[in-house]
Amino acid sequence: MTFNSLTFLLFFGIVLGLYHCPFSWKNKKRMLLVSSYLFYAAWNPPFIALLWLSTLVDWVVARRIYRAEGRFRSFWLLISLCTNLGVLAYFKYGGFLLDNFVTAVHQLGIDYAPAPFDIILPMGISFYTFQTLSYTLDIYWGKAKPASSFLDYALFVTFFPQLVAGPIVRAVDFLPQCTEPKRATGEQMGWGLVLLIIGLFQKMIIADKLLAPVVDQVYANAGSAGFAQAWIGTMAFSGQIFCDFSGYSCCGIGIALCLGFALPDNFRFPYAAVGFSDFWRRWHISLSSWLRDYLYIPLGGNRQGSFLRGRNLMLTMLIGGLWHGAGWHFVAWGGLHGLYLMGEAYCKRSMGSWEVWNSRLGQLSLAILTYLLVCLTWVFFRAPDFSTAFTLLQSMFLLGPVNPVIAGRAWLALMVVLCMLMMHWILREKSAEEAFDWLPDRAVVAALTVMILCLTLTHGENRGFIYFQF
Amino acid sequence: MASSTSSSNANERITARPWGRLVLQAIVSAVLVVTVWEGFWRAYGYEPKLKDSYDRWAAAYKSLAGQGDNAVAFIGGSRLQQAIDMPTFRELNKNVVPAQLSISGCSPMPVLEYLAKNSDFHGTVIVDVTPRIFFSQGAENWPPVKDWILRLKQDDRQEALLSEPLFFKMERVLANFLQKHLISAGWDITPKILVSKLAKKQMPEPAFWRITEDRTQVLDYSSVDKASFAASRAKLCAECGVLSREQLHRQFLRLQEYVQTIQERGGRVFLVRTPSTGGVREVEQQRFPRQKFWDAVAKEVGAQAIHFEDYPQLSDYTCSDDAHVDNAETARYTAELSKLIFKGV
Repeated sequence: MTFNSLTFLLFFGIVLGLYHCPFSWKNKKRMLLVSSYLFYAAWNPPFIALLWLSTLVDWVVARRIYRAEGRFRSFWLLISLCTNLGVLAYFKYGGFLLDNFVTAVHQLGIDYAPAPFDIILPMGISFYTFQTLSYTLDIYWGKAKPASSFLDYALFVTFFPQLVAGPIVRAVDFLPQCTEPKRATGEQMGWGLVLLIIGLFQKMIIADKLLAPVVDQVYANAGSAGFAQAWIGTMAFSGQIFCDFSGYSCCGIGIALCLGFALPDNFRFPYAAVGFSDFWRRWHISLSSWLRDYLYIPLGGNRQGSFLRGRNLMLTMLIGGLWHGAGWHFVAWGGLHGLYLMGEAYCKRSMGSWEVWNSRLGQLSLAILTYLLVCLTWVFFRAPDFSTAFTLLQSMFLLGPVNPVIAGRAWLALMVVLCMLMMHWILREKSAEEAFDWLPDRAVVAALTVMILCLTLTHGENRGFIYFQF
Repeated sequence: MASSTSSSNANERITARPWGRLVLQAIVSAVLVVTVWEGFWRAYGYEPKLKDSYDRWAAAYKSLAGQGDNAVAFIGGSRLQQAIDMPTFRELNKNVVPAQLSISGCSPMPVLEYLAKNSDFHGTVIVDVTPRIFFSQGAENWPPVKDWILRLKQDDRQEALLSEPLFFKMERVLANFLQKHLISAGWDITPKILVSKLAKKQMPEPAFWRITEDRTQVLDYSSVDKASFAASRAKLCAECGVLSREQLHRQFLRLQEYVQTIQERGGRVFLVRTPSTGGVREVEQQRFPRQKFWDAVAKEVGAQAIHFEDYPQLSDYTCSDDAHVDNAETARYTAELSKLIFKGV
């Protein structure tokens, strides 16, 4: 079930009610675990078995790694890696690998037509797989000890606010929260509900109602999009994917807070990023930090010279792209970000000392440039195929058709995106709580009331979250 | 946006503000506003109405999944959505699974194309041929059909990923419950409609149509000036752009392709011209002469064609607005059409 649904409101109401009943802490955790499985079962009940597999394998493996010595530690780690990545590879990339294999053999003139690889992708598999892998890797590297309670560990893997689309939680952050009874104070509950309202508003009103129709229209008619439409459509998508994904994360964090649990930040006004390293410290933070800690740094990071640093950056971003989906356009998206990061590193070495970059105007210029270059990568992310992506890119560089017509709705989308960019720039060094600091209480109540009324009176269609497909 | 969550102590970054009280005040304020909204519009004459949304339409489409030859899809515009009484249809044809996929004001072509390209579909398709839509320039782009098809394509892929029938059904039950009891859960009066009417110095009026759970359209002309409404229907017909000969030929070729694709899979396609009367019929006869349009499509496309003028049992119906069969007669029309489709044209 999605957070922006009536079913979830009912579900959460019941869970919250039960959570505040006078049960023991252990029973409350059991209730949360069962609720999380029910939440997942609303998608597809049989796939709970995969969740169980990942949970059980890594529970056992982690304890074995902790107790083992020498090569046996590596052996157990290999079991964890093969199980988790194997399941991910089969369900997520099986079809993709097969299609590419068939294409390759056809190029060699071999006539091969296998049966279609019709596999359903289990919801959230990319997220919970990475989450459990981080647990075993942390134990292997001595950064953490195995959880003492299976209940706590199972809850860490399946906690419903973050199960399906993150944030990707680390065991060292979550497990300590399970040892003591957790109950949200009035302020935590209030702030959690504020985050839930803001998240739903971002998703349902900004992303779905204001931006998505413009994006769909442009990308469905890429061939006739002129310069302005291509840019407006892509900027609208930059807004849509931010509001959709950060809205989901906001909801998840808020819901967890209502239960007294803290989940990590996942976004920090990313479109105010100055440079791409900064962008990846602000966008999908839980994934980028996972890739940094478990891929980039083990590969050598930036400790082995420029060439290897570039290689490590590129590999990390290509895998990051592939994580998003089994498609070459996602790989292209990741590869482009890898190129950007390499380019940024080079520019910093050669031009980083120039004072102009430290001025306010210099920083703003770099932020705008960063945003525009990120928009170019979004074309690959959103377009269904390379042909559509290149058609739109041509239009974005004035090489496409001349079509100056811009619908009223597109202007509204552009205004929304520009407001979003301004807000990001103004708030770039602040947290969400601090963002409300300058508003008096009455204004906060008014803003929240307006958001609730928008959600209640102008509800649209129930669109799925974009990141559910990853 | 950042949150109070970078450490395990969730209280550390929450600013000292009475968030609980503020949220409660916001919720109470919103509830008060919604209560006033409900009360005001009910006193004004509005009633709760089900929403004819993408979700409802997609649910109807998905109900045909796996039904094989028993699937029956009604596609087209409001005339077919109004004319077909689904309970009557189900009662008379217990072994089929019908779905009302017509969308008011929209061309059936995008839906027919989607059904043709959906290799699972091999049931019966009943296509509404309303002249001012079917033979009109640009009709396929009239919203919301293309948006809904786009979303269905995305959802079809995600459905293969998600497979969430239980959640889907639960959501529909809850949404139906709210829409049946709350005006604010429906579509008839929203802040956007209110603002756009006030901008024209008008007050909004309740719509004279509503839909049922199975997407049957029900028209209530008791509050409408039927004569002027019929005149406006005729005007719409008189002012729409007509497809040129070349455009018509291209349309027929596409239609032929979709029809053949469905038929080759074992499905059946029927083109249906629902009754029209009075001024609307006159304008249709002038702008879309039967020989040039209906007869041509019936001859070239290879589908079975049912024109109300050719069947006495489909001809004598009251259309209060000259375009849509009256509610009181839709059961009879449905029964007669159903006999032709399932017992032979």
